[in-house]
Amino acid sequence: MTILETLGDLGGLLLGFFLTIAVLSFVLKDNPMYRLTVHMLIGVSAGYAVVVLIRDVFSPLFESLLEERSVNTFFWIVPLILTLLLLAKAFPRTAWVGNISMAALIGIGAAVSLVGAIAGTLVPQILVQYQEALLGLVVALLAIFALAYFFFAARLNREGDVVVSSWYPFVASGGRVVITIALAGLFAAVLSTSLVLLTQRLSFFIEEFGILFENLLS
Amino acid sequence: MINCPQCQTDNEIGREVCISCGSALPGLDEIVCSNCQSINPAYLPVCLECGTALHQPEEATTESGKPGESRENSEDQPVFAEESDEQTPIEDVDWLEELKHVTEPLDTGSETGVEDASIPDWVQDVNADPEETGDPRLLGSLQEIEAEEEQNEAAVEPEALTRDSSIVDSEFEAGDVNEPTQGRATEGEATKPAGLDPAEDQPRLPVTAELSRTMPLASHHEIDGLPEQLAKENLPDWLDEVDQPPREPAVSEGLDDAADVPGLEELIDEVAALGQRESLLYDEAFTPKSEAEEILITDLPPDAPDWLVEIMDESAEKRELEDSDIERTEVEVLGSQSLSEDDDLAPETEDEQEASPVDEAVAITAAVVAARITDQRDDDSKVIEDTESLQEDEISTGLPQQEVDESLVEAKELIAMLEELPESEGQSDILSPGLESDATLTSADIPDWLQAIQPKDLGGEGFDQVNAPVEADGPLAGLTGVIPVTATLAISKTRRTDTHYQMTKEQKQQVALLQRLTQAEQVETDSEKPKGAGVTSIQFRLIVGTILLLVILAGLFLPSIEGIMPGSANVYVPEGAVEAFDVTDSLGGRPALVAFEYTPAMAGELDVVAEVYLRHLSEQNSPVLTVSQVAAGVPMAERMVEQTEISQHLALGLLPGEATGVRYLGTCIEESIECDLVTSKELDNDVNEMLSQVGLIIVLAADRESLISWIEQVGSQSEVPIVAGVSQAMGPIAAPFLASGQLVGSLDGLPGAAAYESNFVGSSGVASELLASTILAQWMIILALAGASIYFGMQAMRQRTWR
Repeated sequence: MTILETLGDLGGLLLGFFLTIAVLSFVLKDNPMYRLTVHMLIGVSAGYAVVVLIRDVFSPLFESLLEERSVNTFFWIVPLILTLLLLAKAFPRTAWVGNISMAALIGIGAAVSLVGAIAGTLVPQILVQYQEALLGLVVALLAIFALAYFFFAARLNREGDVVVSSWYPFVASGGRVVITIALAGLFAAVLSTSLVLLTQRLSFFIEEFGILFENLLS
Repeated sequence: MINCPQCQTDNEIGREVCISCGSALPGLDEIVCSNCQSINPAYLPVCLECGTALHQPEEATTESGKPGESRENSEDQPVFAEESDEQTPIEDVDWLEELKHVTEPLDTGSETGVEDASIPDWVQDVNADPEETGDPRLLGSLQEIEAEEEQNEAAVEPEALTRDSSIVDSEFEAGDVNEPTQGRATEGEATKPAGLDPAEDQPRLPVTAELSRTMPLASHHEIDGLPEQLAKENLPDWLDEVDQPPREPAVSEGLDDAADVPGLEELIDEVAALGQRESLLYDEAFTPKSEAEEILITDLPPDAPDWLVEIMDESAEKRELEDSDIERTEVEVLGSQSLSEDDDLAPETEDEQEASPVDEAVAITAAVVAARITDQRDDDSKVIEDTESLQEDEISTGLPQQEVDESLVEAKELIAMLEELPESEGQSDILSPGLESDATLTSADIPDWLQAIQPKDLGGEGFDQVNAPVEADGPLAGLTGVIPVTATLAISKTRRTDTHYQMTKEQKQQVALLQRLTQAEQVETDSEKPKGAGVTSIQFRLIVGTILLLVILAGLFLPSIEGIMPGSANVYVPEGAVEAFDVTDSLGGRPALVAFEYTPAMAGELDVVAEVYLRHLSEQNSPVLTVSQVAAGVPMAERMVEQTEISQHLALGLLPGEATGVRYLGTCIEESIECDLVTSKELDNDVNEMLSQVGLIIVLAADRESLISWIEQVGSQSEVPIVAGVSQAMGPIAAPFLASGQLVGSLDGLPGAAAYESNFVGSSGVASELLASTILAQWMIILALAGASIYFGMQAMRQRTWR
């Protein structure tokens, strides 16, 4: 490894370290450095996505269309037209033209997602609960409790007074417990993930700085 | 007298029902058309239904012969603003249009403009010679007028008024002409100036009425409407002298003579009504800004009449009047010249004195109109600003833009019509001498009784009349202590409360129920929350962060703690990790499809998971196909493949189309068809064959949608087993699919990866090191939470004890 490569790695490492510190500075409070880093992350991600799309989607497609002219080539006219129509949404006066493409995207996407949700989630989950009846019963009961907690309606008696069923407070309390446990588990998992990310980041810098100093010393 | 529209019986003014038939009588501010019997507002010159003149000559003469009745009527009719605000729906009046049509023939007539051929028929009918028509009422009225004229001539004029020339009186009469009732009453008796009567709460004065106020001498004889006691006790001598039958002004004579001319009197009345209305509306809309005016303008009702919007928009056309032949000086003479300079205003030539009644009347009419136009032109810039603000108000009132445009066109026509009014040749000669009298302008002497009735906010306590600002422009230019017209016009209206949103009994009960249900949700107030004593929030965060960093670094540099602290990867192996290892280990060299569905943001955790999977596949010598639905996942895949030294790797790259793209790829895997252009790439036969032989799908997902998409779209149509590598936060989401068998195995974050690595791969790698540090940090967090709970709990107990 040459000195330039080492210095290049050092620059990248220092930049990464600086950005990491800038993100962690949010612990104190919101500050310009944190915002700058976040904006950089979003901007770089968007720019990188465009580059990847051109490299992995558009460029291979046009190359294949130019090299091989067959019947299948003409089929690409349809998505090409839809793509061009979609670009029209960038301008307010011609935005309506892009609705055709949006309709195709949303319609096809919704249909595919619906089929997948039914065949891939609902039916298998129902079947597995059927196989384990007790587990399914517990899950259903806890689900009712949780839903009952969000039930904010009541009936009026003949005198016009609000009447709440006697069992409702107990069910609502049970739902509150269920929701608390569920949110606590999710929050604990998120917290654990955050700790792992912090640990991995610190480990990364320790390891990389160690390697860099070894190279510089050697 | 009020004529009953049903039985034609004369009733006294003030009666609401007919004394004969009991039918409803028109109000004091209404008048019955003699032709069609329809009820019209009294200020209208012609009937709205048939166009017949409403003010017949006999009415004027009759009223003039009865001062009491005349005064009552004059009190009612001139109150233009009150009628427009409360009683009369002004938006229904199209009299301007009608007036235009009526006056047009006169304007385009001969020099006198009163030729018979150019006068409408209805005017000719109205002004027909009573002797010819043989109408006894008209004959009687004429006799009364003549008799009264003789009395007026015989009356002794005050010394101050005797110096008034006929031109001065003509000015005054010109001002009065703008108010039909006042003008009529002036011929027979003195009229009361608008605004002087305490009973008139909102004296909305037209411009000409303002002119009369600025001319003290001219208004002397207008105190007749005051209570007798007040007039006797408080009136100054000079004003008391005026309380005599007014002298016959020269112009009045001319007007009386002009009454013989068919249509002239009607023309004067119509123009006067026009001027009065326009001036009133103009003053309302374009007077200087004040708080009271703000209230008035903003309180424009949504159903504001067209003519109001028309007048507002009229300001946009004022610049067109810049080229008008009407000179400002002529108008100023009308408005601002003191009557003390009346000698200068006297006619200088015999030609002027002998001017025909028609010419003088037309001259007065033109002067009034010129006053209106020039007065509006003076406030041109202010009008534009007010118009803009008014247009905004128009938007709030809900008037459509089309109506505004139409009103603007009508306003143009109105102005054009006014400009076309005939101008007397001798007018400028009559009025111009007053221009030279500005230097000798004397201040007005306001009597005590007038001071007493002056509103406090205008001239009461604290009102410094001497140091009051001098009126810069307009008809009152040069005067101090002028009462702002806007304040007198402004009427503070209380906004009408909308009654649509009153709560019903059921709604109130529902609110009560909601309050009951939410009572349990009330949290402790901030005052009850214990706060750290002496430690700010930032300091507290710094302390916690520093401790956290130190603990993590200790876990990294002190690996020996791994065996001491509970929670080590050797202690617990998740069931999903066992299943995932079994499936991966049973591949037997078949290719595996690995989906990298995470971004660098989650690489810290999922890179570890991906590494253990790829290392195991590498040990199995299984080819690896990588794909990603997110753009940032593509470089993550390349980096991990390079890091784990996979021997056979094929990067499919980005998989666009989300669920649709995943389903298409699943079809290629399941049906072993040739997917020529999956992910837009032309796949050769080797790749297609590799896809058809895929024995395992590994989904490394950081978000729910990506994981669900693979399970639903590929797992539902393919028999290829799917294992997941997700973050700890995603573990609960993957659990149901693991329980249903849709996921064969799952590694939940770092603990799962560490268990997979240490127990099955047989080497303690990065996952185990990171897990040790993480577990140490978790224990530190637990201790911190426990310590904080104890600390704040004790603090809360102390506070309760103190209480």
